[in-house]
Amino acid sequence: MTQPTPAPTQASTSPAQFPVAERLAEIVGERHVLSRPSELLVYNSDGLPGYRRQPRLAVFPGTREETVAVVRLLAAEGLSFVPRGAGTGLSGGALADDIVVIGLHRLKKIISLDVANRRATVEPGVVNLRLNKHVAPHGLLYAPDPSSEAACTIGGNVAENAGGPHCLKYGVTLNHVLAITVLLPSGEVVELGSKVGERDGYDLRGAFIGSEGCFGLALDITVKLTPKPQTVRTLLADFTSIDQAAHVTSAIIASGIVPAALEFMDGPTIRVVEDSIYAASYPRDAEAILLIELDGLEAGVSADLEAVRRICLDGGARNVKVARDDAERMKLWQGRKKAFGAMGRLAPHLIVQDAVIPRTRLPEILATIRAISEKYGVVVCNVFHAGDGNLHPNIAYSADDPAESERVHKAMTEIMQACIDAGGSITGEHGVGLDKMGYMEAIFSESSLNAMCELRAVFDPERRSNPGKVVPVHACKEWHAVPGGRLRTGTSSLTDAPEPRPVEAEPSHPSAR
Amino acid sequence: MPGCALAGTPLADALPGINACVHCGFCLQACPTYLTLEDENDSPRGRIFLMRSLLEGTVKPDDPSVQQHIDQCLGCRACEPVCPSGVPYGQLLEATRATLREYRSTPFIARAILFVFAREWLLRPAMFFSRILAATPIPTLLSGIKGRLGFAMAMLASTGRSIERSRYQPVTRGERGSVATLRGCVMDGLFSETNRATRRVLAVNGYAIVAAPGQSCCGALHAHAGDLETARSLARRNIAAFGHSGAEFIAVNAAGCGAIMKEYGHLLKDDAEWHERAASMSARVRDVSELLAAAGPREGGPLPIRVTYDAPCHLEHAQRVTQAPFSVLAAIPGLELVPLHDSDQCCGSAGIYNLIEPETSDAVLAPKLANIRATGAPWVATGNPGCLMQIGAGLIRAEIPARAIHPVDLLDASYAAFGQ
Amino acid sequence: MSTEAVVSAIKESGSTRSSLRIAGRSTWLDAGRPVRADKTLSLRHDSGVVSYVPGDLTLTVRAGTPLSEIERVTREHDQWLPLDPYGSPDGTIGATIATASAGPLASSFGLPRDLLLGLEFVNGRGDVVRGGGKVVKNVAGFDLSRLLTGSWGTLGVITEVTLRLYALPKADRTFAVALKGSKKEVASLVRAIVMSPLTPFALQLLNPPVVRALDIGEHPVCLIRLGGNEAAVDVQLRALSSLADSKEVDTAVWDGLRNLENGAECVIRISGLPASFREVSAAMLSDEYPWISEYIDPVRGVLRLVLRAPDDAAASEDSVLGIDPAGRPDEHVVFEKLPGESWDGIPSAVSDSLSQGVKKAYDPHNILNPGILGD
Repeated sequence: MTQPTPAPTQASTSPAQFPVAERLAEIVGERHVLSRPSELLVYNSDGLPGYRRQPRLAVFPGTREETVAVVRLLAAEGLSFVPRGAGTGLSGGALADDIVVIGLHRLKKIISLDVANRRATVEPGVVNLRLNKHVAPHGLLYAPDPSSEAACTIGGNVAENAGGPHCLKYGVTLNHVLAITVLLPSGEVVELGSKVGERDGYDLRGAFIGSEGCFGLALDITVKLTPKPQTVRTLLADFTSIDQAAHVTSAIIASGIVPAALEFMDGPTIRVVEDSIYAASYPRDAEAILLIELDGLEAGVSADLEAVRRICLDGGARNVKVARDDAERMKLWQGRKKAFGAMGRLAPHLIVQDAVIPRTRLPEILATIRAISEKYGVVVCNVFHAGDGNLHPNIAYSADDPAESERVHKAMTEIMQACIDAGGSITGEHGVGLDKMGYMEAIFSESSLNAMCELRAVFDPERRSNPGKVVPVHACKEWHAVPGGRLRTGTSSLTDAPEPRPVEAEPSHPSAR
Repeated sequence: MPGCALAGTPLADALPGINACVHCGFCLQACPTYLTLEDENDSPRGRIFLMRSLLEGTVKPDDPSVQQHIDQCLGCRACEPVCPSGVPYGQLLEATRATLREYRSTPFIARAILFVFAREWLLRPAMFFSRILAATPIPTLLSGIKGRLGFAMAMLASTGRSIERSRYQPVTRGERGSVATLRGCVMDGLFSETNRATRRVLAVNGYAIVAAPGQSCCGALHAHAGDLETARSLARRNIAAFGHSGAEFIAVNAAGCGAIMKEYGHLLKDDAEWHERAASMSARVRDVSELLAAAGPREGGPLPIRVTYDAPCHLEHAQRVTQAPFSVLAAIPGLELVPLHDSDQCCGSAGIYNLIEPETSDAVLAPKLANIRATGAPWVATGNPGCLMQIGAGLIRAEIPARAIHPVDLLDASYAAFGQ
Repeated sequence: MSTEAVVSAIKESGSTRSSLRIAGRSTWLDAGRPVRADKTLSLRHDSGVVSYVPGDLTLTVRAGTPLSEIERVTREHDQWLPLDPYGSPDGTIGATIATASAGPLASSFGLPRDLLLGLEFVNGRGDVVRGGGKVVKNVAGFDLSRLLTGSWGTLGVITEVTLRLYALPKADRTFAVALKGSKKEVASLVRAIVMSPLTPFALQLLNPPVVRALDIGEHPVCLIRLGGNEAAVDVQLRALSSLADSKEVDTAVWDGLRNLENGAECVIRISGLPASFREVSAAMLSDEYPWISEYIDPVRGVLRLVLRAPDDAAASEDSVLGIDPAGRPDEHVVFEKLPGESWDGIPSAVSDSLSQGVKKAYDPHNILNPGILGD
């Protein structure tokens, strides 16, 4: 749940040197440790700047050895930290509340590429698109393609179990990571999964993926690469009604054809993209468009293309256009991938949501969203991975207007509740972070949340890595006993305002030392 | 914004542009200083955040670290074409620098350069001495020494290394319209042959060249440094001069100058008297490659050389002119174009940045030189004097056997080979 | 049988400190190490579909549901769960997930971990825990579904699973290419097939004992399953013809392959870099030892050995292939089934401190399948 009011945090401490800063500087060099509050400001938010938390210190190791030394020093001092990639996350997951940020963006080496076995090993700071450019000459690609691919890092993708439009066919990060060398918060280095084969034992690599930085950080990641499909065809179908597009989406999925991607954009989104430099020649007067990509062998794709075109036209599409060449295809995609950023044109602040619903419920939920937006007088821009049922209802608004903020907040809460009631999930690819922690109890029982806490405690018994995220600590039975733990009374309900501050007590909070 | 800390400043006026930033981070990988310095304070998103924080009052305008991160921006504007929400970053940067000027002193060397550039009577002799110096072996001899002076000498030395060509007399029918050319300061002072070549190749391609006396420095360096007042007064002089010329187009062969001249309308947006004339003049400004591309351009005589192309930021990102320079090179028979990896990345020249922030500038230049070396091409074409000198100096100091050259000079040499 | 029944069985064991062997339909009981258990908790009767909306292509079933039942239910809607672990199709989905068992289709549809959307399990304290969800994409909370997949019942008893389904392909045909010629020729043919634009559903290299058991020839065979729409299968078939002669065989041959392992005393799985398997496939597919059935997935990089002469197993495995699990850092050797006494000395895969920590957290009294992972 987004806390709409951007509350500028002032530096909670005097600029007096944090003693560990000097020792960190000895490891990584002075230039790569920030301790001045004015320089730490930009690290107080990620891609969802409605949340701001001022870190105490930021350190940017440049090598694997430096990273290990930094984490071991913090472990020896009992200090908490938050690993951060490019800061493009959309759940407030990389925020550090008066603790240390470890920026991993300098670890950007592609360590090895094994074309014959279709795998690559990279450092966590390698940018998703850089990896793809690196492997493209070999006819390979790294399939997960979050819309922020031009900026986000593979390490961040692993932490969030990132998705993207093409995950409909190819699967999410989880399905493409073979091995991770993990630096535990204690400073111990462990290898999870296997670079060479399929290993038995507990799937700790699977558990680590999507752990949002709470289990430690990745030093290197071995990913599976996918051969580039022989043929890729992209269709743009436009509709004068959202309902028709939603029904067509369900019909395509039900037909059994698995498109490489099946994306949905509604009228307000189309128009904001068309106003941006990523204008993709989407029809401005459409109420919805579907961007459908099919890939594979030429003959198979052609047959599916005809089938999909027929489903679209039968479902009421006004036009179905097939991109003529790669340039046109890229343009159609750029409009989609940059849609979220383009919403900055509408208003200064933006709430981004990430709910998932069963795909057959799409027409009904979109109608509900429309009714809710009318009820509260807000404009919801829907741009999402329709094939997966992964909705991204976004609301642009001004947080400077308290009345508007409240309406937006209420509308979003109702939208999320509708998705949960439909049997969905609160996040499909952005992660829980700070933003969706308030919804965790709506979809998981106390014992399930407790099991998550226990798993985290195995990796990070002192809870020093990204504290205060993902699982609300009061949900964890055994942690109730933590001395000084600040416990909430009563159970949270969705109508409560979300907690603006992390609810987790920090036994190793630096300011307490 | 409630309680703006710097009300009434150019930065406060720029708030809507700042608010357009949604913090998505797509600009990070486009930013040469972020990639080099690896700190988000030195990225567009980070600097915009600092700007916002200045307005919120959470950082103070006299904070030296804030000033440093704003100073370290190259102003290459590579972030603008990748920004989905259309943040006018270049304008925000100028507004910030203009606002911060009151709280700090501009470095001496920058002040000296800007002072000279704004004054014709000082600029001409300065350029004259530079030209005399460039014609001697002194710059080459001194170009190897460390630091700023050595680099400056290498820059001078690089200006004397254009392509040999014979003279020809262009014949024009002027059917494509009349063109006045911007002489420019550095172009006129150190690349005067390129200026003459510009007029010749435009004439060959059907443009009638008209004179525009009274023109001055374009004001780009001043605007980038935050001295908006001087930039505006220089702009007014140019608007008057080019207005009198009656030319349909104003051709500019320096990408940095062209970029600001296309934005005179924005620069003078609050000037009731000049705003309209500024906007209408801006609409007539073209990079020389745009005018040539519109004309074809005419094919020249054979010039069997290998050339790689580096896009000046102010052409590629600020003016969004990406294809026209390739049309110019394509008109040269025998010319083999070698692709340059990351050709849209800044070379680190950025006006006078290389003299003020030499370390960062060098760090940004290093990958550029490595990429040029990898092409093996003996010529690097680029259409901006700052880039010509930055890359030219870097090539000399790194002992890479290649020379930087303006595309117009290559086309001119091709026409010369044809006897027009 | 219900989740509540599992909870009370576990709570009772907890209070009496007695241990439980967790079983589905007991068809795979002989897999894994011997369990030191006082009682067996069978999920045989906890079976059936909980929810199935064909339009969503997701299915939620109780853990004791046999794979054959899932196949029957989904086929009515022209859908399938492309999960074909070796062994009897009467094995349960719970056991399949718990043991992370995969078959030939895994090279294109993924492993059980890739098809599992969410699950419910009861941990060793008797708490009912859910991980994941019922939708196809979900990153809410830490990933307990992956943690439980392949945990062999030692972290919790899986009671319900939600799976991703696919539409049945319009065409689903299988072709056999005889691998004749020199070792070099065979290796290069295998390489050509794997690196070609073919996108087979499954691809297995079978040694002659397997080929004879399936009655599809004499020589080593490359068995290829092509699926999709008819046009896609036709074009792949043409591409295949340009590489080698092939003959079509009944797609039921895959069921035959799965059933080969029924009742085998010794099954060893070796996985490693796929390219290395392609290079040595010819040597591996020899016909010298008729008691060794051998099949290789050159896409995934997995070799399975099924031995029928248990007494010779260790020796022959060692001498024939030179495989010593400890001495081959580039490969993982997993013993799926061995005669009881042979397990001695084979290291446990969960002896590391993280795995031990997870085990202690989820089954503090060590009552669930003690011993099965060598712990």
